[in-house]
Parts: sequence; C-alpha cells; structure tokens
Amino acid sequence: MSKNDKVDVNHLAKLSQMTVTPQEAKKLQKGFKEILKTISALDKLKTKKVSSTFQVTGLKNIFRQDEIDKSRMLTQEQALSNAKKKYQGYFVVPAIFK
Amino acid sequence: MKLNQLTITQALTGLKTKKFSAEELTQACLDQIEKTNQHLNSFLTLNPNAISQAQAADKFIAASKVNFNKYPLLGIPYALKDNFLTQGLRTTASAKLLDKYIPQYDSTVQARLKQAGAVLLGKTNLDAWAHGSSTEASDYGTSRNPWNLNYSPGGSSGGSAAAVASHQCLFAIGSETAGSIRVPACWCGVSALKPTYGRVSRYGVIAMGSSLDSPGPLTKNIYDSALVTKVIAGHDPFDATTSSSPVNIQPAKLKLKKSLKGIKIALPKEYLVKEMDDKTAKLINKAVKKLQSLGAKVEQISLLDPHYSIDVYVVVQRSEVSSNLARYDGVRYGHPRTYFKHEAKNRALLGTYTLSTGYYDQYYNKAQKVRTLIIKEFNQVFKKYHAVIGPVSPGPALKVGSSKDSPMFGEVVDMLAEPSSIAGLTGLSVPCGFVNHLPVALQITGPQFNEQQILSLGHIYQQNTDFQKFPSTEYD
Repeated sequence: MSKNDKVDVNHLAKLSQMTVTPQEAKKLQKGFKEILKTISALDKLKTKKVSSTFQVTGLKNIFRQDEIDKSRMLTQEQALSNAKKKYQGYFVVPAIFK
Repeated sequence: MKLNQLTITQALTGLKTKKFSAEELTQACLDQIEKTNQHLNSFLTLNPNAISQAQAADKFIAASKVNFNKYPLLGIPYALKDNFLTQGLRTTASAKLLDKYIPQYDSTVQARLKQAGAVLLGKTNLDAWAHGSSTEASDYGTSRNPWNLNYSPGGSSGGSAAAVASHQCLFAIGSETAGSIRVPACWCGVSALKPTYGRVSRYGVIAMGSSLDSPGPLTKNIYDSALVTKVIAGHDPFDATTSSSPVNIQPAKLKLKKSLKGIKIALPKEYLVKEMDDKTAKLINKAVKKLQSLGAKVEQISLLDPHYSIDVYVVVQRSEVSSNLARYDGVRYGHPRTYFKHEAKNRALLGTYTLSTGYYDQYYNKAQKVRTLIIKEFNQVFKKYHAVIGPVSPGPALKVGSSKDSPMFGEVVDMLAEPSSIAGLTGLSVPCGFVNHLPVALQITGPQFNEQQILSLGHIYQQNTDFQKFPSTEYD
C-alpha cells in the first residue's frame, strides 16, 4: 500500500450502511492502519505473471435447469413468517423515494 | 462410564444390542448440559423436541430390523453450531440482529444428519457471524474452556468444541473459514476434521467467507470424525460449489491399516513460528518421532511463511464478509443494521475498502494472486508427500479476554490453519499432549478430496498414543 492511502471510515460506513459513532470510527481507523500496514507485506511477493484464484477446487460454469424445485418452495405465509412489517401478504420495505 | 461420555461407535453398539435406549442416551446429554452449561455457555438454544426425536428413534429400532447402514447415526445426540439453519428452531449466528430468526428450512448438513437418524440437542455458541477465534465476539457472552474455565475454548466453533470436550453431546458440527474448527478442537482437546472446500455443502449456513467456508465435525476421536463426515459430505444441488466427485471416506477401512510404512510426511520449517512456545514445540517434535516410529518418513521442507497467509486471508475474508453482510436489511427477517456490533463493522468496512475502485487490484486481486502461489506450492508438495504436518495453533488456549483490542487476534491464533484453508485443503486436529494442563494438537493436512488419507494417518497416530482425554466437569 502506498503511504498516502488514507481510510475514510465514515465514507466506508456510508457505503456499507453501518452506523459508526465518532468514538468507534477512531478505534476502527487505528485498527485499519495496523491491518493495512501488516498486509502490505504481500507487496514483497512477485505476482505479475500469476493469475488470480477465484474458485479453489477449479469448478467453473456450474449450470442447472431453470425449473421450479417444489421441495424448496415456501408458502406465502412461510415466506412472511420472519418479517416484522407486512401488509396484506406483502413485505413492507423502507421507502426510497420521498 | 456415563452414557453421554460414549463415543459414537460405542453408543451405536449399545443401541444395536439394546443395552440402552436413544432416549436414555439423549437424556444423559441433556442432564450434562443442565449441569454444566451455566459454567461453559456452550449451548444457546436447546431443541425442545430432542426427547421425542430420541423416542422416535427407539420406536424405529424396536419395530423392525433396522439397517444401521441406511441410518448410520440413528439415535445419536449431537450439537449444531448456531450458524446452521434449523427449520422451526431459532438460529442466530450468535448475533442479536438475528435474535428472533426462526428458519423456514434446514441447512443441508442438518437435513442429512436428520436423515441419518441423529438427534439434535441444540445450537452452540460462536463468535457473532463466526467473526472471531474465541467466542468472545458472541452477542450472547463468551463460552469457556472445559479444561479451565478461565481460558477460552477458541473459536469460532468454540461452543461446539466445549460441548464435545465436556460430554454434553456425542459429537458436534462446526464450520471453518480458516481455523474455526481445528483451533477450538485443539484448545478443547477433541478430534476434528476440516473437510476440503466443496466437500460439505454450505447451503443454509450463514455465510462468512464464501470461498473458504467448510462445515465439519468435532468428535471424541478421529474414527468418529470419519463416521460423521461420511454422512454430511457429498454433492448438493443447492450449493454449486460442492464437488460431484465421489465421497471417498470409508470408516471401516481405517481399522485395517496398522502401520504408516510407505507414508511420506512433510514438516514445513516455517510452521514452527516465532509465536510458538517451547513446550508446544517439544510436543510437536515428540509427535513427529511417534509418526516415524510407526513407519512414516518425515522430512523437513520449506514453504511460504504462513504470515503471508494471514495477509491473504484478511483481505479475502474481509472482502467476502462485506459482500455477505450487505444482505441483512431487516425486511424479510432479522433486526435493522443498527444491531451490527463492532467486529462485524470492523470486517465489513475494511472489506468495502479492499473491494472499492482503485484498491481492488492493490488488495483483493493481489491477495487472490498470492493465493494462487500458495495453492501451487501445496500442489508441488503433494506430488512427493502424502501429508503436511505442524502444530494446529502456536500454543494452548489463551485466557478469556485475550482478544480484546486486537484487530487481528483471530488471524494470529489461526495462522497455521490459514495456508491450508486458503488452498481449500482438508485438515485434521489430533490431540498430541498437554501444556500447563491444557491440550495442544497436531495438524495433519492432506490434498483436496483426500480426507481418507489423513483420517487414516490420524487414526493410526491416535491408536498408538493416549492424548485424547476429557476434563472433569465437576465445576461447583
């Protein structure tokens, strides 16, 4: 990591939709500095000609038929069973338009 | 000997010969939980139907000539880490955000155990969202090490490890991203297997690091680990990362081999890390000598410093956590995001950073490239050797409170399990002695999908040593 990288905790909190108090932000900032310094050790390893690993056992393009699997179907009642807010058989979601 | 102290193999013999019933066996475990859980905090939720499930198993055994091959765990009581979904039974991942979550379906692991006839006792504690290596990050309080209540059981599958070590159950299920099965097993002195990535389905397991998560058993000996893994392993259409290669685990065959003649084992000198204490190092050397005396050829090799694996693991895992935790919006289930605690924020925020524009190549992609280097290195090693050994953890259990104010506590504790997890390999934790009355363990790592090979090695080592012991649980 370059020495100029500065982590903006409040921006990251916004991006990841987490609530962070000023006190917590300070603690996280300190921790991130420590972690980023530690992981910068990876720069010592040459990887220019190395490809990235994305699936560790070598699988790719696993497809299935686009069919309804009845064994996994939930009833409307089951699907709603953990929702705190519902209205006439629907989930109530937070408003995104004013 | 009390019934709850039996191994799976012993209990199955008793059930088959009708020496005792599944109900008596289950009741013995429930009695032990009742007596010790106030000290250990290993169980978060008990299954109210445990006794009726055991009675059903008894009826089944009595009514017909049951084919135990078809129901290989019939009547055997077990504990399940609380990040595995259980239909109708609260599942929290030890996070208050999911405090009231009642899953509508079973995880594949739970479904397969149910199908095999096993009896669910309840759900065990973990670090919230499996983020940690001590259970101290649980929103429901830390679990304790049954060997000494002032010490941590390790984590994140700490509740499962403590439950097995204290005979609250006959076996338990844990999950491992890097060290979360093997390290608690080591610290609590039980036997465990971390299967190859993709050998056991992740369907219905609350996700942590999706390219790493591997469910597996914690048991009272290596043979039992083989029995349980055989039940839960195999292709699952609900998890596209599971392998369709046949499951090669054959517990009965473990009994046939008595020596390690012809087995070549590698001991990476870098795994004897600076963080390791002298007494643990001596026990590892002693284990090496034992393996040699059993016929194995052990040679020292050189691998990438495991400290690099910490760095790769931190980046990959934090990145995947940030993606996995993004789904919790409190709409379909759970409380709002304000319920996330410090460790979840610590991981999600850093993962958001390492995946963000401008930093992706620098961190995430770099880590995935080093991951390739680690995989290639192991591939070379396994051309010449059957297994790689080393300590599971640099030392025995640490005191409760050790993780406080350490943003990378888990990564350091788990550093010796990280290289093999990053490479998707399978590994065992086998008890190999005691330091200050606390257990330590030998790690045996094998190539992908070759669980049988390391189970055989671990079983033979265990048959010729006497380190699989259990603590007194008279805490009052």
